Amino acid sequence: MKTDSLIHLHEDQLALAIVDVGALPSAVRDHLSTCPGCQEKKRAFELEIETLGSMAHRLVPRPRRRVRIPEIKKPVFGWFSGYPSWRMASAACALLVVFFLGWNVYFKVLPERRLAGLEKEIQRDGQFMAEINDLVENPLPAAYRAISGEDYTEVDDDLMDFIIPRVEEDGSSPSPA
Amino acid sequence: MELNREQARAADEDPGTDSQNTVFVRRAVQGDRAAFDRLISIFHEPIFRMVYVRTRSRVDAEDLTQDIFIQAFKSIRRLREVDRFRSWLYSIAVNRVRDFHRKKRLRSFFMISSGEEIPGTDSKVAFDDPEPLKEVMRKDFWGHLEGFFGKLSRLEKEVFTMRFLDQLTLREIAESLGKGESTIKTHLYRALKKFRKEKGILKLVGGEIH
Repeated sequence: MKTDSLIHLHEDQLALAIVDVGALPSAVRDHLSTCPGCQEKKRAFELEIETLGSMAHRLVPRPRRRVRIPEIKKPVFGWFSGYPSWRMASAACALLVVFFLGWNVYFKVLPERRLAGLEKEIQRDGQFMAEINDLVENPLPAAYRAISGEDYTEVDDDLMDFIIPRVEEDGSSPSPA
Repeated sequence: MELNREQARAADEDPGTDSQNTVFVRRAVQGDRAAFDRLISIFHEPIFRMVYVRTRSRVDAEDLTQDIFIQAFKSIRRLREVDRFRSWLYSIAVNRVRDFHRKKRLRSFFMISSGEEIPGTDSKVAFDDPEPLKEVMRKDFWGHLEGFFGKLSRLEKEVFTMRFLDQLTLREIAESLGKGESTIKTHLYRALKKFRKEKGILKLVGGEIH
């Protein structure tokens, strides 16, 4: 059974014709366009598929519930909701760049200025500690120390030891008895 | 992006064709809530059908359809090519159904482990039509189709369903699934060859034709 010296389309070729008739070899395509038998087989195949689709369509129940789109709440950061995300992203990037530059200027570009400031601070701390130590040694001002007769600032410990020897605690010093 | 007034009026009067849908899509992208509602009314049943075919449960299909439209509403402003709305919407639907099946599998695994009964797997729950004859036909049809789908790979089944049950074009299927058109054709071709060998379903379809 041949038409135009070609065998009729077999099942696989019919399936291919349904999917994409252009994918058939040109000779087979030419045969299909001229052979009423093959055209009829193709139509029958298509009808089967269409019927399957219409049966499926008919045997699906109708939805009982309507689709309702709830009111979409605005996000907490409502100020930014109107801006596209790319704008927000570029603003965040710009902020990061500014922060990075500021950090570099403060901690890297001006280290000398920062070191000088630290040295001054250490000096001030030293002066303050000297004043505290002075007050620990001599709590009263000089005028009061003169009145109270406790102005021993000129007398150091060695001189005092020479004038008034220390009493040894281990009892090795000669007793008056 | 100024809309042609006559075009918009025509779309209001007779929605349904692709060019008219495009008008609504364009309006919806610009934030027109009423236009999105029109799109819901146009696509509600096709999307519900698409989900029902894959879940075989009316309640689940209704829930998922609702989710799909909410997701579409939230992200429609990001849609760049308005003429691709249909494939974009179906891609949301395909992903949502896939998530549903993943969660269901996970749930069923834990329920089987703990000995609990799996809800939604009872056919009485899935097929709840009050007409008994139609229910028998429905069970018979979906049973045969399920048997046929069992012989297909995941992608063959998806492509066959989208082409012949959801009536999508090859381009729309390719866009929805994120595959090349030649891949879609290959899988459709394989599915069709298997379909021709499926005697049960062919008999059912043949009975319907004659």
